[in-house]
Amino acid sequence: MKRRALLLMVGLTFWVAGLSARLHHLQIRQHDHYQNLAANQQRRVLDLEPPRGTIYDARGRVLAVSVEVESAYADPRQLEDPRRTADELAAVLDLDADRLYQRLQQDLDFVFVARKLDPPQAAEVAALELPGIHFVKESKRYYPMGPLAASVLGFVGTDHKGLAGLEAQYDSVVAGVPGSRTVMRDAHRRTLLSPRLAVVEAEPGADLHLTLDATVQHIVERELATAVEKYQASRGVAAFLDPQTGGVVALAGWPTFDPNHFADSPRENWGTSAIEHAYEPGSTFKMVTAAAVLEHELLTPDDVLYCEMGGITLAGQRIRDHHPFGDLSLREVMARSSNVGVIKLGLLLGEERLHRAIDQFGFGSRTGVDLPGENPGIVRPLDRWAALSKAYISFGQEISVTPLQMARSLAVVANGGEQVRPHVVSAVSDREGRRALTPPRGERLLTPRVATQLQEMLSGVVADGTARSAQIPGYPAGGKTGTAQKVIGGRYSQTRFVASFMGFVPLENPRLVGIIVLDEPRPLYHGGQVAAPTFAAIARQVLPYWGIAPQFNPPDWPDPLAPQMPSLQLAASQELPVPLAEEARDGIPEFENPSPEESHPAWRVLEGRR
Amino acid sequence: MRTSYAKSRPVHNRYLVRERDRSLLVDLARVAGAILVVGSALLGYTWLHLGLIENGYAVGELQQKIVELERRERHLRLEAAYLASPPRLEAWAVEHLGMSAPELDQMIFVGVSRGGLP
Repeated sequence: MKRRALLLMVGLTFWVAGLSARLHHLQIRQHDHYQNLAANQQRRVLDLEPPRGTIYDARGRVLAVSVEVESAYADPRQLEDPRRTADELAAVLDLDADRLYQRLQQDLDFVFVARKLDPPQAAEVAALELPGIHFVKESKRYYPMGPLAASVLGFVGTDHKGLAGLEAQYDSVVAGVPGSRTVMRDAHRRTLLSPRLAVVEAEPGADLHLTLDATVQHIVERELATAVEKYQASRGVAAFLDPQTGGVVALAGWPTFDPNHFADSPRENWGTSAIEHAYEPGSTFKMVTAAAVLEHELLTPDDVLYCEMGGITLAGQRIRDHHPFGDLSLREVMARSSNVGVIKLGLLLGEERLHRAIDQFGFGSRTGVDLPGENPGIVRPLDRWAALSKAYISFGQEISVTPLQMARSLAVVANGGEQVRPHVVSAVSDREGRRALTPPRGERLLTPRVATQLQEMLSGVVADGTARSAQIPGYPAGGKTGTAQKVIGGRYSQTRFVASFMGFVPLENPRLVGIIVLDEPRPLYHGGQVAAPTFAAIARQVLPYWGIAPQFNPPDWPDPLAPQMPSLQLAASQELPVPLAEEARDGIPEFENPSPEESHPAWRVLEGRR
Repeated sequence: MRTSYAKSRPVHNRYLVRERDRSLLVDLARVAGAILVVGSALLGYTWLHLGLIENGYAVGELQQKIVELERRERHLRLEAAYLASPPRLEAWAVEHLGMSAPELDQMIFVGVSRGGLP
């Protein structure tokens, strides 16, 4: 009995000792190792991607927004039939089947098949139910208005980093700060959140609110494209500002591109031509010379200059006018755009005062607009001016400027003489609220009297000068034409020109300042023939859109109390081509649809080509 | 064991009474109380812990729902922006509805006197 008890005791002792030793080994000596193994199995650290900020136009319309979409990836070890998988995926995703098959043959456990699929495509891939094909969510940038304001907005790369335009300029603002969250996963892979687990919340990117108006931008782009096509120009540029604040209301270049598929367009279309491409302004620059003369009180608008009947000889060189003029008042020199008259203004000013005026207007230095890649233009320092530089520069040769610099100089005249800083972003909003970014007006460059004199002189250019085609019924305007010879092979070309017109409207309390530049138009090439009508076509649509009434009173002016007219009307002879209800429904999404993305037309139009 | 020489003798033990050991009862009560307290605490802790886990699941699901709703909201904003795009609206009005832009004299400027600027 005792022996049995003894054996039992010894056995139990060994068992307990063994168990204790094993427990000691597992729980104490190997504690950290097994704790790490358990944590790796149960805990997961999720990266919290911050949503990139949205970009809105001046009226709160979305110009750029990021949404989460699916990226398809493969785990090659789980594929049952890589050849069939590659063929089926390639058919749905428009990929090269052989190349995809090669990638699926790799000895990896993660291979991207296609990144950032639009929802309909992701649904098609999911419907194939291919073993080993999975999805991961990624953020994708969309530009719902397509090419509209493309060069201003820019675009982002696959890694969601801004590469051009505002996306690059404000990348650190709109990108946000990534966060992370530790979660527990149970045996069924369900997520369990616990307050004891670490959380670093992602900080969403700030939203940008622009001064740019999508409707004005559309009008400008449409009319610019029409002008480029009509006048067979190689390129076109337009820049429109609010002269009171310097806010950019439209900035366009043609040809342009679609930022949703930027890789499909040539690189030269990606830039913002209005700030990147410098050109010799020609006669539009005469306004700067006239402004300096008036500011120094050397002449009044009615003082008369003899314009030498077609040409002037300086330092042995003959400089011709485009037309023989005799006596012209300063007002008429501007209206007729006499080169000789303006050369005499330049001579009257002298090199130093002309250079100082050019410098004060901001030529030769960046405007500071909040877009990347701005070209400062070329203004040679005074000590490198040649004997005839003051003559040539006074009418816009030997100097290089950007369209935005020219528009800004006219804004100074239009707003009464104060410098403005062009800007595209008016405010930034984030969790802490909305912060205005409108820069204050700069220094006063012209006295109000001189600004008014210049406004009157420039209105004469439109009313009875070289820019009569810029007249807008009901909206008196002012402006200046320019027709500059291009420098080809170091010489001024006789056949290739840059035609431009810069103008402001209405004359009283100007609300819109803009410039149109057409590169090498033909057969018409004068600024007054090709650029001025384009400016008028734009202003004629923008001013009523802004609710600015015309200053005439036509006989059939309708009664303001009459029923409202729609902004677009049926042409008199037209009838609705199909029953409105049926036609109108085509393509308009059903928002009650539980999965609206499947039927949304936006996906079809914006569909990315990877 | 009964033997021949053994003489039986009555044993008078019917007056023996079982005496209650009060100190033992007190000890028992203390132990039971302690077990009850500790047990209740353990049960409470377990209940709380289970509740925490359940809530963790619920919070996780709600968090996922928020993410999904935010995702859908962004999709809808994208859709609305696309539908409100000026080029699209203009193309729709002109091509599908047969409309054209009005002339200046056909427009009414609300809140503006005739011929005057605002």
